[in-house]
Amino acid sequence: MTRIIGIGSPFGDDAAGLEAARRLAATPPPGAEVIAVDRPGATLIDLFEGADAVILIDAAHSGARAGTIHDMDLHVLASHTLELISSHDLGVAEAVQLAARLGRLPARGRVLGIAIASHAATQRTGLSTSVRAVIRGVVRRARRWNQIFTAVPLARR
Amino acid sequence: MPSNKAKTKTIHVGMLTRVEGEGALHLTVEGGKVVDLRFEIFEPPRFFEALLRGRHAREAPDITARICGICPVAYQMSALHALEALFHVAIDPAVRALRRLYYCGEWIESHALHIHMLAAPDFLGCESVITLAEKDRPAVERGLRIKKAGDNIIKLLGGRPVHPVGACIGGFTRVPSGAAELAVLHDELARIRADALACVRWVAGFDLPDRHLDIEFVSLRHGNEYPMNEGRVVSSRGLDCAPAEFDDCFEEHQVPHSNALHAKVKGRGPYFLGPLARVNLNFDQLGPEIAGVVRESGVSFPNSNPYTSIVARALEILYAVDEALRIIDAYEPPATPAVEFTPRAGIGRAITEAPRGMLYQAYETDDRGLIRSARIVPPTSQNQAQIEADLRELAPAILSRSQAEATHLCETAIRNYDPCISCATHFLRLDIVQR
Repeated sequence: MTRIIGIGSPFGDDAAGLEAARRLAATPPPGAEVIAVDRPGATLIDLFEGADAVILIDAAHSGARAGTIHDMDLHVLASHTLELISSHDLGVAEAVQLAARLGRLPARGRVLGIAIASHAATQRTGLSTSVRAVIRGVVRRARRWNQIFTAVPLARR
Repeated sequence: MPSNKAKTKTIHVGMLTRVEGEGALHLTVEGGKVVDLRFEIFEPPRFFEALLRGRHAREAPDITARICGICPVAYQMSALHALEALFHVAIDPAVRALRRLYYCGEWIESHALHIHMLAAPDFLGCESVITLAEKDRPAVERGLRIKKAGDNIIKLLGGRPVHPVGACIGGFTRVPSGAAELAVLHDELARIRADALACVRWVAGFDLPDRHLDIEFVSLRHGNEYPMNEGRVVSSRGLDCAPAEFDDCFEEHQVPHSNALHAKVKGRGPYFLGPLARVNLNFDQLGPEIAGVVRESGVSFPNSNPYTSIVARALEILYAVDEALRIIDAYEPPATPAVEFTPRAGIGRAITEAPRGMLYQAYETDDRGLIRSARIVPPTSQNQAQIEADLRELAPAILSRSQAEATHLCETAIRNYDPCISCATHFLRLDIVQR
């Protein structure tokens, strides 16, 4: 089972991951469970339990133009830090890195980061035009990755 | 190495790490003397007090729960107790017990997070919990198990672990139907009891600095139980007042470098809130079994060493696990999840013990129950002046250290208070200027 986790907060473009999860949950991809979580901190590690694969969707301060989609392997994130937004305890990248050290990272996964402007998380309610415009693309990518994870099971060890 | 006497040294930690929120520390030492020390909270104000104005009292617990992702229960509890005092609501004893269980959940998850993810790396030579997990994976796994049990208590009573919604004026929106619904939680708590005990032994074995400060400790104290939702305000220097007399005993003031108000005991000065204050002032209420654990640990209470806060925090986890088990064992559902109330015009005030210390709230409502004014005084804002006093005392000892070491020592001292800057309004960058 693939677990698709939209992460964010209600504020401005930080809600991008939540909005993507909302659209995916309306028509859940086959074989996938979709959840939306508000700044999960360390509890993100618990959300990996029981999943063969995870797809994380979150807003990112990457320095790229707002609306740029970063699509990276979960295990790459576990060893390389992209600054994802979190205001409390562990950030998403730190939680993924900690899960990897504890052997609790699913075998496969993707991180879909949506670049937002540096202060876009707090300056407005609702998504900016540039971020809203790419949510459909993010949703499409999440569905595509789920298809790949579902169609090509991991070889049993 | 520069001479401490002749030079001025400035330490500026521009962004404090492993604290909840965004803040900085600026320290200037001239001729070996601290001439400027500012613990800066630059997280913008969030205007919750203004947001509450004009809303119905019924909305206060759900709005205040949004102040913090780590300690939302505390915000709900102080709001509810203040409003219930105002509306003369007498809650069912079973609801009172469930609220205590709810608070146990928050202490467990908040303390477990702080000990394992934020503070322990300081004392074990690790940069972060990620490096700690490489060095001592079982300890981090244990911390996550403890935290999860706390989260599950909050989830059961509040509907979800972050920003829960279940508490309301008069009780809860729903309560467990009986012991069977609590059985899974009981089993989980019984399982992690050994983890909680191991956690106390683990932190008590850390090489904690031995630095004693001249501190006034303040907490609630209750005649029959370790304080959570009720009690009088007491201090290690003889203060004893009702929560409603908060403004008679304490005063808040603005400082230019912080977006959160500082506080002091009227006529005196800074004061220290949180687990160490609670354990110091209520040690007798922890019970003989925990007293035995403390004796065996080699750390004694009361004491004035802020670094023993981590031990106090671990003891409170153990206490909260035991207390939660006692409450579940004795649970009988209340006649109704929440008693009815009639709004009235007036002012209600309450203090409860958030994980980080006393949280005061006061509400004025009109006769329809609409909020005319709200006041929220979080523990971290009250602790700011004490944190500065602590760092002022620490400063001379760090001047000969490298910038990296000095920063680490300041951050460790600050983390003793587990500051939640998001609540106080976020946390650390360090500037040390030495001239």
